[in-house]
Amino acid sequence: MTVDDSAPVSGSSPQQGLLPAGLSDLLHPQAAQDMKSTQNVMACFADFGYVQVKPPLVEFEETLLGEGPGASLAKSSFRLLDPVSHQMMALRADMTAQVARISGTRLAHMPRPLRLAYSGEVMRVVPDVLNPERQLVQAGAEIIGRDDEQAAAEMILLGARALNRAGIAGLTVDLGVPRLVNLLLEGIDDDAGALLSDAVRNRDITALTAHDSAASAHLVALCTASGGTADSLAAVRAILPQPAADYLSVLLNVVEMLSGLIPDVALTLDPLDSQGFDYHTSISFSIFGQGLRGAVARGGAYVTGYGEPAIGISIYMDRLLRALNAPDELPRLYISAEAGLAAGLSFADRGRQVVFGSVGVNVDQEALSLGCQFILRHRDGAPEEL
Amino acid sequence: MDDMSQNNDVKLVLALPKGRILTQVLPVLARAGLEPEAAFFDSDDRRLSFGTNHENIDIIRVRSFDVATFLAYGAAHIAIAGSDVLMEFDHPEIYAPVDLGIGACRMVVASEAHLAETEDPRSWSHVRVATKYPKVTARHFARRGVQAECIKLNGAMELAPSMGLCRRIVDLVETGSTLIANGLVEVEEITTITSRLAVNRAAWKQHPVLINGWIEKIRQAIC
Repeated sequence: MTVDDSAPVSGSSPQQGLLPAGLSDLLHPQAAQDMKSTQNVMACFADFGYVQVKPPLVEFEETLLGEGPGASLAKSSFRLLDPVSHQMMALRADMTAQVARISGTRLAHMPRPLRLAYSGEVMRVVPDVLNPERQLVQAGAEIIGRDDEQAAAEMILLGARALNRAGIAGLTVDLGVPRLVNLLLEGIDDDAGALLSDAVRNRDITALTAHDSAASAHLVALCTASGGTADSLAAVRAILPQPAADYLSVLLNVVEMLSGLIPDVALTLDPLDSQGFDYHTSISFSIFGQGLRGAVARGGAYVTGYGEPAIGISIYMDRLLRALNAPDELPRLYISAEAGLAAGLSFADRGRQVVFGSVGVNVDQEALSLGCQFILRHRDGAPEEL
Repeated sequence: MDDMSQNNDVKLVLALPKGRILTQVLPVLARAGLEPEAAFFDSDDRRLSFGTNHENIDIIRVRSFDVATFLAYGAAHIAIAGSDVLMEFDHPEIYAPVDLGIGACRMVVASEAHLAETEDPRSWSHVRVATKYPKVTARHFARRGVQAECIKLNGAMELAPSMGLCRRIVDLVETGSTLIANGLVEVEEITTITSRLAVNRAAWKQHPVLINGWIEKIRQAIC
């Protein structure tokens, strides 16, 4: 069958099914694949004792975007007015804030650490620079009550395993310390600070080198060692002031803990990376997959709006779809109308995928057009291959 | 951390801008040990993608603004681009680690000579500007509280003020002779421009050893 790009979709609507920017219909087989990979990821979280919670799609703006991880989402959240309470509500742009809220309210009495998992749709006003989607499926896990090195290593391990289980290979985990740049720039006047942080953002070693200060020397050393081995960063740690050196130690210790545990995963260190980590405190990480655009997962340590340390990971499920192979499909068995519903049921009970035929049609033609590989013509017959 | 083993099947794409900068870039690359295949220099060859003396590096030759687009979306992993293009894109997925010091020029605001003498831009809340760089221009004027209405032109900027299209233009100047020839004067400099070595953020994270190796070689080639 040839496909004509210009052929209009039938229907009387003038827009012919046009959707708002960044939104799309997921069809077969991607829709099923999307659900299956989310289930795989959630199963992996469950293997390590994370229990599921399911917050609502919409909350009061005040609670959703209040203190903690929600505060940075004000610009990216859609809002709507609740006609019942006359209060402003926000559509969630990230579920981490909701899970943090649950941990600090309805689960405040539960012993710590609390391991929670979730998956759901989120909506963002402005899409990511590399991915046009404004509606995303986010699947994640959080440890509430801990943000130590071991917890960070657990999160990275969990993320790598979950992505492998969802079918993504060639992973790179990039670790950073989002606050490091600001720590090193403390005490420097605003103009120089802005210049240096711009230079860091562009990894502009030329501009950093040109600036004559202790901070710029530290930043140059970090920039040059980034992406290299843990050893070269360990050497940089020796010249850093406190507490910056301690933050770098956290990073190096996490790498040490992970050594040998995820052999197929490349670990890279970019301590100066703070991009997109608005609320993270000590360690943060992004996970990249071969052939996938941008990070497919990110996470890090933060403080909940209720003052507890926490660490988590979010996987953006939609971004995985591009790398997944089409799933194996079960052969379909056509049950002719003459064979009847009962015959179909008995095959379905035995694990076959069945499709009921219509009345008064050419059964062979319909079986083929419905994508069936087998056909049951009569109630007492046996399935025949088409 | 075993990055080298992954690199065997990785092919890096280097994006180079067509035009003015290209002739200055090639000697730098040659000193860094990277040479395009012969077809790259053949003006009759219609291809846009070329091999090099390194099996795992290809070169693409695209328009200067498109260099940033190819790089941002990861279609190219490394690129040489003017800092004017990088500023206009201001894209978080692009790192620009090395100033190559070539292709030097300045980005300036210019106006018709006779108007520049009589106008008082301090009283403006709005100005119409013709430019190739609407984002840089809007940011520049916004910093002093002036709303810049940018008219995007791709060339012949110098014509726009005298034709009544705008009061100011923002453009690159090397010697300033084009401005003078069209009755314009420079009223202020926005920034100096040079070409930079830029890399795609995700590619750099995924192949740090390979890409850092080239950054270092190119850095040494300009010293």
